[in-house]
Parts: sequence; C-alpha cells; structure tokens
Amino acid sequence: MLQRTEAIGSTAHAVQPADGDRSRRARLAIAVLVLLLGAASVLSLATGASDASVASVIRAWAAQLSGGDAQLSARDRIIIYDIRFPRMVVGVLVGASLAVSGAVMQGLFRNPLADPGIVGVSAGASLGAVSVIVLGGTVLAPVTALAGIYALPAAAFLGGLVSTFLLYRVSTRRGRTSVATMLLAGIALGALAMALTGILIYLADDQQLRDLTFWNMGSLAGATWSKALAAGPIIAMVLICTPLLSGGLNAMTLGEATARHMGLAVQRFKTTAIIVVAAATGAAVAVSGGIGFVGIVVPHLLRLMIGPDHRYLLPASALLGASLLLSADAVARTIVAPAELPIGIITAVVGAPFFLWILLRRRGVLDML
Amino acid sequence: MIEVENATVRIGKKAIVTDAQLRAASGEITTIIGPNGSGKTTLLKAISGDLAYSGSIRMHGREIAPLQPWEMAMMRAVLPQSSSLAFPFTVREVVRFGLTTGRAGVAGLQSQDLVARALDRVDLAGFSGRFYQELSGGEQQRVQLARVLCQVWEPVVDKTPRFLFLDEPISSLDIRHQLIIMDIARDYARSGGGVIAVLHDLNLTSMYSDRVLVMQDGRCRGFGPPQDVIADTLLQSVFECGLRVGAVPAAGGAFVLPQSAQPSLPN
Repeated sequence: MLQRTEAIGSTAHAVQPADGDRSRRARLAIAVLVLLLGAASVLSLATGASDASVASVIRAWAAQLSGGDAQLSARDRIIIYDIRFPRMVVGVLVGASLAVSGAVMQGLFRNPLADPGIVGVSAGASLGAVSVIVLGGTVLAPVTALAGIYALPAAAFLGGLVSTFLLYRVSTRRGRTSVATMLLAGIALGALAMALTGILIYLADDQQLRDLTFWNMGSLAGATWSKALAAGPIIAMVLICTPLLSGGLNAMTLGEATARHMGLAVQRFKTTAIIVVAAATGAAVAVSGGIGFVGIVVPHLLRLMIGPDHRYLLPASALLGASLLLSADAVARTIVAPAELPIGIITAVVGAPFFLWILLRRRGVLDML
Repeated sequence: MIEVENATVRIGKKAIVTDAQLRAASGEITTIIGPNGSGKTTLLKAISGDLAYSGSIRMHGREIAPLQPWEMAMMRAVLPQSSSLAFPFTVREVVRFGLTTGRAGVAGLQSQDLVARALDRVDLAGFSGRFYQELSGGEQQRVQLARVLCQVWEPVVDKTPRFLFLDEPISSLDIRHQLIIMDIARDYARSGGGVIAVLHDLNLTSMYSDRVLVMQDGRCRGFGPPQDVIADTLLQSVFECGLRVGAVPAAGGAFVLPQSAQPSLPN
C-alpha cells in the first residue's frame, strides 16, 4: 500500500534546481501567470460573434477621460458591458474555483487523480442545482423564496458537500485513502446522482428542460451579472480561504498521523477542506454546469513546473485555471461562429486525453490497485 | 519527563497494550524492545497522542489526552516506521516541513540553514535537490529523521526538555548509519532532551539505552537499566528462543558487534 502511493507521485518528468528549493521559481511562475490572466481577460473581452472590439472600448474610455464624448455605440456598449464583461468575470471565477477545488481535493485525498468532476462531486452539485430548477416552483418554493438568487449555488454546494463527505467516508479507512476505492466509489456516487437528476429531468416542464440542457455540457453562455453576483461571493470566499489550507495540505502529503504529529488538527482540517471543495465546486456548477477536467489538468501541469508545495500550487492553480477557461471559452465562441460550442466539450476534448496520458504514465502502478 | 501509568490501549475491542508502566526521563534514551506484535509501536503511538487510552500518560506532568496537536508538536517530534509521500517533493522541501510546525527553538538567521544542517547531521549533505521518492528506503528514513529533528531542533526550550519518539529508526539502515542515528539520539539526550525509541537490535539497545522496557503480549515484562534487563532468563522467556547474553560463538564463525566500531574511523 505504501509503495503504491509513493509510486503514484511519479517524478519522471519534473525538473528541479540543484538545492531542491523551488520557491523562487514558483514565485516567478505566479508573476507570469498573473500576466497570462490579464492577456486572457483581454482576449475574452475582444472575441465573440459580434465585431465589437476592445480597441473601440479603450478609445471610448480614453475619450471620456479626456473630457470628450463617448464614441461607443449603444449596441457595442451592451455587447461589451452586459454580455462579455459578466462572461469574463464568471469565466475567471469558475476557472479559478474548478482548478483550486481540484488541487485541494488531490491534496486531501493525497492523490493526483482526485477531481470533483471525475469522482462524482460535480454530479452531486448538479443534482442540487437541478432540484432547485425543477422543484423551485413547487416543493422547494419556500427555499427559493428565502434564498433568492443564492438558492441555486447553495443547493449545488449542499449537493457537492454530501458527495464529498460520502466519498471521503467510503474511501478512507484509518487515515489511509485507497485510490481504487475512491475512483470506484466516485463512479457509484456519480451514477446515483445522475440517476436522481434524470428523475428530476423527467418531471421537468418544457421551460425547465431548456434551462437544464446546459448542465449536460457546461457553458459560460448563460453568464449574466446576476449569476456573477450569486456565485461570486462564495468563490471569492473560497479563494481567500485557500492560503490557510496550504500548510495543512503540505503536512497531509506525509500521511494523517505524521500531519497530526506536526501539530495539525487533522479532523478539523479535513472538514474545512471538504467544505471548501464542495463550495468551490457547487458555486462553479451553479453558474456554468459541469465543466470537466480543469481541476485535474491545471494542478498536474503546475506540479511538473513548480512542484507540489501547496503554498504556491493553490494560487497558481487559480490563475492558470482562470486563464485556461477564458481561452477555452474564446475558442468555444469563435470556432463555429456565429453559433457557439459548449465549453465543456472543449475542456473534455483537451482534458480527457490528458487524463489518459496521466493514466498511461502510471499504468504499471494502477495495475496493482 | 514522560510518565505512563496503567495505560491500556484498545483497538476495536482487543486490548493491544495492557496496564503499561513507563517513566522516560529527559537526558536519557529509553528503549522499548519485544517480539513482533508485543505492542511496542502501539504504546509509542499512544504516547504520541495517536490512540485513545485508559489509565494515565503524562508529559511534564500534564495528561496528554486533552492536549491540542500543536501543543504536542512543540513538546515532541515523532519519527514513524515508514513514510510514503503523495507528491514529488524534493528532499529539501520535505525537511522544511519540520520547520513549518512545532518549534525549532532556533532564532531567525540560524533557522535559515537549519535544513542543510539537519541533512548534514543524518549524513545526507548534498541530497537536498534529490526527489524523496527516488531515494532508497534507508535514505528516506534519514530524510524523515532530519525533518523530525527540525521540528524540535533545540533539545531544551524555555527550560522545558523536549522529546524525540523514534519508531524503529534504524530498521532499514546499514551498520554505519545505524551508529550515526543512534549517536544523534544520544547527543540529543546528553543535551537535555529525551528520547523514546523502539528497537529490534539488542546490541544497539544495550549500547545506547539508559533504560529499557521489555514488552510481551501487550504487557510490560521488565523495566530498568540495560545491564539488568538484558539477561538470559527474561530474553529467553520474552523472545521464546534460547538466547544467552555475552556468549561468544564457537571458534571459526565470524561475528561482528556494533560495540566493536572504533569512534576514530571517519563517520
């Protein structure tokens, strides 16, 4: 058992400085990633089916600053401010939270294959969200009346929380997490959540069905300011909390007993980490549906580049996750313009082969599980 | 001072350790010996705060059960039998973890190179850039010891001695490194700290220990200085084989005792 977990963190492709201190490289990488996110944000504002360009926006701002008249047409103003801007904000929030929830979950389970999308946490969150959409007018009416725009993300959060908790209980025994059990339990929990979601979809009316369609593939197309406002505070809170988790996640890589010996209150830490994963996944699913593989691809790439130290891995994951999702969204909007591809298809087309590549590299190890 | 009185540890319904008694003073190496499955590791885990117990286990007069993990981490560091690592950390990064919790007791500038000093101490100077997972089992064990040393680097802080708990620290080491590690333990004790070690090697136990606890079937069978405890009758009964202390083999067969190592040789 020990040997397997060890071999899973394979090191074949990573490089490191001679003295083993990768913190300088990590800080440099984070600075580069900040610039990358800036570029991706501009790209996100600049691309789309319409010809409204960022240049015209900047010209209009410059004109306003110098006291002249704003040159932006009403049409462009709506496209930029009410469509692309919220879409960019939601893209950043969702991309960051998907990547961070993947990284935290992998640290918690001490396994690079753990990802909310793969082990059924997203499915649980979807079940929560779909419950609100379908039953919000009837059975759950008091809840939606009380929670307003937060009903959807809150329900998705609860669904994700229940799945993560069950998954951890099933796959961890005496402080050891079994990889095989985790993946298989994830399949079972995901299938159960999808079956329950299917029952709800069966009950849905035509309008609800329309709302539900995007859950199947995941998309930022429905991004509005109100959605950004609903999920924004939750995701922002998660991102603010994650630096507090990094020391604990580092300690946990040595195993639960050693983490406790080093002074970590392990049980409380695990509960916090599970809540963070569920909140991040739930909020992301609530606004954009199931966008897969960001949580597995981003932390894995970063571990190869800057190492697995969570003090740097978590912020870098947030930045790279946001940048990648904005870029994928730009592709989704333009590749079949004027129509657009759901972004979940793009992340899956890129991410699924990547996942297989990780499996191939570890196949000798996984055979023994 | 660590005092264990009538401590019983159950895993499930089975009592693994029954009515254990132990006093481990600072300034001394206290060694626990006994056959496989005799409860040595379980007792050490209970003292480490990992397992619930009935009876009493006190560290510096305080019952350990209600102590917070961070309070324990300032008073003792624990070297586990084996450690796996989930992600590809470098040796330096692993040892550095020892500085992020607990309390090295070393001020500002000196703590900068504590990682390098700790690695040097366990004879792994120059290994800081290597990946932990690519090292041999014995090297990994020494990296873990370096991390553990960083957590409680100064044996005495604020006039309070601190403890090293070592669970089979030399089980996968060659003879030279066994001696190096036991020397580290002895130096730690001589500087005022305390050491509790689980060992299998009776010669090293006799060489380095100030007190020895002998366990069998979860019970304490003997406790005292090594010359009193490591005796024919007790060993034969506990290990269930005809051991004789100090018996020299018949002429012709080679035997090497760790006691024969010359301290003058380069370590």
